Amino acid sequence: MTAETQVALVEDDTGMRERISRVVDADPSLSLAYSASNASEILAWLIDNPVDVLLVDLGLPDHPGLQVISQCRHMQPACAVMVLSIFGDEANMVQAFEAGASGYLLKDGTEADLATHIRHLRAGGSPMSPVIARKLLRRWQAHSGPATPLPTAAAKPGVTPERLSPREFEVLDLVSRGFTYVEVGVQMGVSASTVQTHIRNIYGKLDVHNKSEAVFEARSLGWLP
Amino acid sequence: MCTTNRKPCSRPAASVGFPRVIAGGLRGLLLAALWTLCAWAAHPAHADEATPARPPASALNVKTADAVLEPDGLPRQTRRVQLPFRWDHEFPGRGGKATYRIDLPATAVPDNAPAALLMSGVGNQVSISFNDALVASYGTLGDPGHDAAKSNVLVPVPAALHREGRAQSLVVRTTVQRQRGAGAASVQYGTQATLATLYRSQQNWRNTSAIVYAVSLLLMGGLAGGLWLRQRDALYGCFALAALSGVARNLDRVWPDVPVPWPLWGAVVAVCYACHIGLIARFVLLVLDRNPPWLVRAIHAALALSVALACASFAFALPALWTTGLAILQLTSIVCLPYVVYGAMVERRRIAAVLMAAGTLAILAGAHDLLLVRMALFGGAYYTLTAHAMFFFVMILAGLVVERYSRTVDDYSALNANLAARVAEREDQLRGAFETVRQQQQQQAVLLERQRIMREIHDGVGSQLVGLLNLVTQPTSDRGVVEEHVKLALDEMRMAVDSLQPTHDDLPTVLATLRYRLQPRLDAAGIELVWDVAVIPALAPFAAQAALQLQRILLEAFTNVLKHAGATRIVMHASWHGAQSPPLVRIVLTDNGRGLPTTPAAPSDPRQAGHGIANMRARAQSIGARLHIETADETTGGTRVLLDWPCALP
Repeated sequence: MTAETQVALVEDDTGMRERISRVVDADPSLSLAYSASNASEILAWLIDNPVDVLLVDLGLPDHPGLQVISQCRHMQPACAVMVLSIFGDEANMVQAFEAGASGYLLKDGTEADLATHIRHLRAGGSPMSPVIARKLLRRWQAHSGPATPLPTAAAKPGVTPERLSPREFEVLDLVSRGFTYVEVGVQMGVSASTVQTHIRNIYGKLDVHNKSEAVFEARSLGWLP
Repeated sequence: MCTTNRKPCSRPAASVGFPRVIAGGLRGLLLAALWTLCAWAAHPAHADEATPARPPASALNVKTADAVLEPDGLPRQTRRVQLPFRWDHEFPGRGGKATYRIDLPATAVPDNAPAALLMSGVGNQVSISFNDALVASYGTLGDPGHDAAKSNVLVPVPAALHREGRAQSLVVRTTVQRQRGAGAASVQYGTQATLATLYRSQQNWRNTSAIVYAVSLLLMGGLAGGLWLRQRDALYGCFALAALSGVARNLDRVWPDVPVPWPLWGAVVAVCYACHIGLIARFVLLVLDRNPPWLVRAIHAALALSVALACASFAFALPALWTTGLAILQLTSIVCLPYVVYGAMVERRRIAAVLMAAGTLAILAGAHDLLLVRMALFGGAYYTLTAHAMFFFVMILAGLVVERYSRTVDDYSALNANLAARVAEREDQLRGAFETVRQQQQQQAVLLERQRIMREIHDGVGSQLVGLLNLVTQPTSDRGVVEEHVKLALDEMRMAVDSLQPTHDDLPTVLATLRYRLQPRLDAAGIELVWDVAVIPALAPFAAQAALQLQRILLEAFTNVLKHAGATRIVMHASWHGAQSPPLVRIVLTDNGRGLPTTPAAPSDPRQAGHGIANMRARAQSIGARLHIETADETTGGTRVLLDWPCALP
């Protein structure tokens, strides 16, 4: 950890923007580099300013948040994109992951929660709710699933995601049934950090830009373990 | 138009007093009309039939004979007769014997060439002697079982019998049955080669055509009969009878040994012929679909009358009666003709035009046969034509069947197309109705879902907020209590939002989401959660609502533990019992807290335990689940919440 992690933010709700700014500033390891209220602003800024983490709200007034994620992944492959999500919107996260997002933050937590989440993410944690796990499981089962193919809304025709390994399937199944990463590790006979790695790999396989490079970059930056 | 006169008729007697011009003109007209349509039988015999009396140059056509005539009941006559000689014309209604002596000139045949005699219409039973030697006999004289008069006969004359330098003596002895067309039509003498050719062509023309007609009538009559049996269409029945009755006459022309005694067979053939003509006339009206009752009755009456006359004619040996019958049939046919002409000319019906052509020919042929052959008027004629003309009706029926069949097939095709169109139309209607119902169901589902969400918010967040409002308006409100209330309200709100997740049908994920939401609070309270959720198959869509109720029951249970139990550990089991009927989901939530309360909860509690448990029971009842709340362990305490939920699979 040599330098503060540079964080940029795009969010159209002023109150929310201020809250996140406060949380980031309060954390000594984070530094808020830029805060934008719409997509055009942040995209223009990103051209000249490299950043470590970009927080994106999906419901921007001028362009879809997914487009911002996609363009950022294109312009700055080393930048990790996090989605600012409202509670209960996890089902829509899959699209964001496909666009290149590597995690999400819940907006409606308290400020303490927000800080915890960002720290957690910064430490390499990739949260995955059971609903997201279930959706991903169905998505992959529809494409190449082992035994029980299920209809899925998440699967987009024409986009064939990279195949999951059996271990990754197992992780998704256990997470979707409510087990914590630690419990998943115990059941699979591996450490919790290995489970985390599986989760990150699963997110990575979703990204149509294939961000193996990005992960490598992020690791070398100390952003990911 | 006569049953038995197939041979040349005598000419002179009847033609006396009629101008030759008229006779020749009428005959020529009739023949020309028939020939044009008989052209299909492009046959060398045409020339012979047209001028049967004129033999090839190398054959001698005998003109006269010295005859000894012995009609029954009349005195014997010896006189010179001209050939063709017609017995029935000389002695109507009488049988008898006749002997013809003919002197053939010596020079008729070269001395060394094989000679032959060609005779037609000689009979009824014949015995031929040449220079006093018997050279041939057809049938036994006096025995009516054989009728030689129907056939042409070719009699080879051995050269040994030939008398050089003298006239050859030919004696033909015959016995005759009444009304059987007996006599001597023609006798030709010449070289065998010449006459054999002539014989073959005559035979082909007369016999072959008769056989062809008989077989055609039989086949088409059978076909029409079959159609009538299946369809009961009078048209087919009428034609079947007409055709089958026409078979007898054609058969008779080529069958010398009919095993029915004469004159009974004569009556049978006459009756059949009358039926043939009369029914064809009726058939024509049926084809036109014009059946004026008077005409139909007239045809039936004419038919009955001519049949009666035919029988009487042969029974009482009165040929004139049958001639009258034929005349009646002829008149009947002529009466029908205007209807056909009207249909063809005025209504412009194609079938009527065809019928008009065939009918006109048949009437002309009938007139020819009746007047020239039967009655020997206008110079007489030698061969009947009606059989040829009638054959066109066979072809008309064949065309009619083809036409009707094609039309039926077309009609069915059109009907099928029509039905297909109607089915498609009805399908569209059904689809439309189905779409309407589907939309209504969708609207209903949206309405129900909206009501559910409203209830969720009202009962959950709403009641929490009301409680919170009551709390903050009290001056002595405790900050910790208020915070607890806000957290509960937030939980309620999150539950309501979670209930909108599209993964309702997956019970483990519903339970997992519950844990995902509660885990921070459990962590904060220092409660360890042991999680044991088995794989549970996807639920039927209608069970998804119930899964949410289950989630609420468990939330209540967890909240109770958090608030009241003072527990340090919660064990959550969820298992699937698919083998049971109905399949069962069993959820067991066990804590190690202080157990079930023995006294009502303190009024300061934000959530009243008693009320909470009642709520749980109500929710369990609403989804048909069994809820047991019991003490987990008598010694160490704790509470166990056991829920058995019979659920439906998709």
